[in-house]
Formats: sequence, structure tokens, C-alpha cells
Amino acid sequence: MENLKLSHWPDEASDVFTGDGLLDGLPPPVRSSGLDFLLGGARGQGDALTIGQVDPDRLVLGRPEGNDHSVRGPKNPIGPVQGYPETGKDSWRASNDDVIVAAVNKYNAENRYFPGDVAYMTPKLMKAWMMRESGGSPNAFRTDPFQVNKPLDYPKSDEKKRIADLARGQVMTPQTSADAALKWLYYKGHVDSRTGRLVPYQGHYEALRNYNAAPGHSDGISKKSEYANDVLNHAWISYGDWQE
Amino acid sequence: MGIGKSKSTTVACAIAILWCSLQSSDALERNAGIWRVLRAGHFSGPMNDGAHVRAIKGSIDSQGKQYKFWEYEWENKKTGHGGNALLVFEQTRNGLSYMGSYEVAGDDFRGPVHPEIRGKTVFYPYHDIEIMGVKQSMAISFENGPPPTTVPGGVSRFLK
Repeated sequence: MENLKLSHWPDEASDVFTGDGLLDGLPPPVRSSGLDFLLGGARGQGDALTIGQVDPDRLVLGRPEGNDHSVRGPKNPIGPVQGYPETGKDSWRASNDDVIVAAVNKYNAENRYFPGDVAYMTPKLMKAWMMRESGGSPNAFRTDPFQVNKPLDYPKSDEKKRIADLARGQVMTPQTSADAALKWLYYKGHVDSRTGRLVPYQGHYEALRNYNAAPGHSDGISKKSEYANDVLNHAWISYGDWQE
Repeated sequence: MGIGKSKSTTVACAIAILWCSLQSSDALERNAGIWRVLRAGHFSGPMNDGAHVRAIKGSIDSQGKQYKFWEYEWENKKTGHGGNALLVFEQTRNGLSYMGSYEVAGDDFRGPVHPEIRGKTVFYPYHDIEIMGVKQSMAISFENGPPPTTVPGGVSRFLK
């Protein structure tokens, strides 16, 4: 442990407590390393504190709450999708993990899907799907990460209202986006896009193609097929068997 | 300093012009030709630079009316989502009048599929694949005017 202790806080020891500052008049704080603070073993600091406890007798400088820019990690982390890092300034990409897990659990429970069912959804696939939709946009991530309710995408019929309970122009949150996206995907997976007939669920690949529905081709492949391939491939290379 | 200030002003102006041009390209709306007819007929699909149309040769005469058809496709460049539709017009002495549209896939596993008129149907020559005995070609019959759905019992409806 000795080699983990800091003898001082190098960034504050020399320049903050030199007088003429905002902290004038306050007693100088007793400094210790973060490990000492938790373990309580150094320089007679008394019983160890558990995480979350505060020792009222000791002043340890830290960032005020309002300046804390760190992103709290998800309770149910899914893990990063390849090509979409989640560390440091990119940590926002993990911020919808709990939303995804909740939406997937709700969807599978309401439809009574279990692993092996063709329409069974997993957080891993859903996260890969979300990255394709909004993995480059923190703003989209905070509002409509599945891009399921954009005004120009809104169908002329009442389908989205009837099926996904979405109104045109409705203010979106990650929760409403995830729930509605699953309902919309499920519906799209049931429509034969060529005949317009309702058919048994055609699988996530066809459902994703219909969800995207972009016209045209690029490099010899339809854009919507490229979309579905991209989502499923990212799920596979990121998580292996995403169906587990 | 003067040069630096001038440079920064130039850069700021360039950014402002670029931003304005991007905004205007986003907002580009089509108004001429067939788009004017669509607007007059209260077509509700996007009519911006992500939308494209293509006339289908021929027409269908049915119940004293003459119908003409156009393909329509659109792509939302921000989301990457889009779609295809068949636009239905009535040919009158005063010109074309927009009646409605059906959402229909514009491609199959081999590539783009363009509809054609065969008799009193608009036929989509999807490359035949057979799923459980059903051929996956599709024809919309205008024998009795525009049907409420592309196929009986289908979900692709005739809408403005």
C-alpha cells in the first residue's frame, strides 16, 4: 500500500494555500490520499469510513457537487459497441444502458418472448441499433436516440400513433424513444414491404430494413440492407452471440 | 494584430456563410412541375431535396377516369430513414390532379424495382421469390378505381 500513497496533492500544494486567496481564514486542510481516507489507517485518523460516510471532523477538499461533470455509470452496463468508445469524453454513450435494459425487459415480458423466439430482443442488439441511429450525436442520445419520431419520418397514416403511441412532434426522452422503437420495429417486422400484407414476424434483419426503409442503393447494396447488416454486424463483433 | 483580426473576421464570415448555406439547403423545398400538383393536392410527404419522383409510362382508364402514376422516394438526410410510394393522379382536361398514394417497397434483393402498367394494374416486377408457395410479385388493381389498400387485407393504404 505504501507505494500508492501520495505525499501531497501536487496540483494544490503549492499554489492554493499561499494566502491572498478565497480560502483565506480557513484552517489549512489535513491532506491524505484517497486510500487513507477510506481505510483510515494513516496518521491516526480513527476508524475506517465506509463509502458514503462523511467524517465531520475532517475537512477534505474536493470538487463541489455542482461542478461534478463526471457521468455516473449505468446500473446495468451493456458494454461498448465496437467503434463507439465509452471512456472519457465519450462516456455519454453508456448513459442510456439502463433505459435499454428496462425497455427490453418490458418488451420481452409483455410479449412473453424468451431466448430463441424470433422476436426476442436483447440489450446488446438494441444498443448496437441505437449506436447506428445516434451514436455520433450526444444531443440525439438525450432526446430520441432511436430516431423513431422525427417529423419528416412521420408516416401519413395514423400508424405511429396507433402502434407506437407517438404523436407528431411529441417531446421525446430516451425512455419513450426506446419503448416506441421496439413497438415500431415489431410492427415493421410483421409487414411484407412489397405486398403490404401482415405476415408472421420476419426476423430482426427484415424488421430493421423496414424500420430504416431508406430508398436507393450504395455500392451494390440497398441502403436499408446496409443498415440492417451494420446493426447486426456491430452486435456480433462487439458482444459475440448477442442473443444470449 | 490587424492582420490577425482581419483573418479571424474572414473566418467568422466564412463560417456564417457556410452555416447559412447549410440551413438553406436543409430547407430546400420543391415547388415546380409535378411538385406544384402535389402541393395543390395536399400531398403530405416530404417535398424537399431528399425527395425524388419518376413518371411511370402509360395510364389506366377505369370507370370513366384516366389515372396516371409516378414513383416517389424520399430520404431524410439527417436520420437516414426514408421510403417509397406510388403516387396516383387523375388526368383531367385541366391537367393532372393528385389523388393519393400507397407506400410500396421500391426494391428487392436484386436492386431497384420500377412499377409498370399492365392492363388495369400497376405491376411491381419484383424478382420472383416464393415463400411457402406465394410468389412475391405485386400488382395493384385499378379496375374499380384506386383500391383502399394495395392488396385486399393489406396495411398499405391509399392516403393523401
